[in-house]
Amino acid sequence: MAQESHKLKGYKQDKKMINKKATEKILAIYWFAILIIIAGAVVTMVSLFYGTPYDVRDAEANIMINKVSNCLSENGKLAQELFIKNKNFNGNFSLKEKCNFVFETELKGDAGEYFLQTDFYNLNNTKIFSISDGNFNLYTDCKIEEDKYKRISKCVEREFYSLSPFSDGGIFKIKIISVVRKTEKNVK
Amino acid sequence: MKKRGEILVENVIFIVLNIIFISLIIFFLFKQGSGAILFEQTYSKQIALMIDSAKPAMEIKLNMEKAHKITEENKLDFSEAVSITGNVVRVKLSQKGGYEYSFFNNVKVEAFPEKNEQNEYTGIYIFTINKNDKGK
Repeated sequence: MAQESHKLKGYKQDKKMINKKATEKILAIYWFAILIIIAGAVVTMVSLFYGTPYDVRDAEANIMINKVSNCLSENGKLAQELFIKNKNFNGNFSLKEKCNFVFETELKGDAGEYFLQTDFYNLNNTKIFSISDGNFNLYTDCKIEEDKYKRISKCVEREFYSLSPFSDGGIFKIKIISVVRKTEKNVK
Repeated sequence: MKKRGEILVENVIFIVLNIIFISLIIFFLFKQGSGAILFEQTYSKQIALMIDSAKPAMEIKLNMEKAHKITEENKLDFSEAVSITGNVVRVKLSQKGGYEYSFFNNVKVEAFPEKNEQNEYTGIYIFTINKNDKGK
């Protein structure tokens, strides 16, 4: 009886060892699966992070607005070139030419990646004059509500006040809208 | 005693494999973060924005030490790293590829690397901005 019980004990111990080894193997498989999942996640996250281009269009649009404001207003007064006789605004004023811009880009066959619009208001907030340059189609993109749809281009709008270059003491509010598309280079 | 030894070897292999795995992931992360493609894009956009903000008669010095290191690793002359054609900046840090980005400021830009007295590259690039006499 004692011998049989000893045999049974030994058999149970052997079975326990076999089960332990099997569990270890299963654990090892799980471990490798976890490693593969971690590696996959790291690779995906890294390629997503580094694969997305830097979006510099906001900075570009802001620089453009700074340039326009510098070329329209000198020492707090609007440029004389903006006006013709009788203190009327000059309809032939070209932002691209006067502010020294070049709108051609490295993107082949593009319809224009930039748009600029400058609106002049009097103190009653009535628009009295407007000049624009570049691809007008981009302006419609700015009208899209960003919380509902994704815009293709970046729109930046800023305003400042300036005095009339004449001695009449006129004050104007100038609103500048700058639009930069360049989606291919800035958005994935 | 024999069994204990086996367990120890298994554990050692397991730990070694894990260390190899973590090292590979760290190496991959570093490699991705310091790749030529990433720096080509960063530098070309940085230079384009810098030129956009510049005014004629300016001279701008840009520290491009990282770009210098990458070009050395890729056996490319540092003077070939930046080229400006018209209003397009091209940064090339490896034998293949390169990244282009345009600027809207109508100026004439010349780019060349700075050298020290020993005629070695200092890692700094000099950009001279002048009025563009060509048609607008």
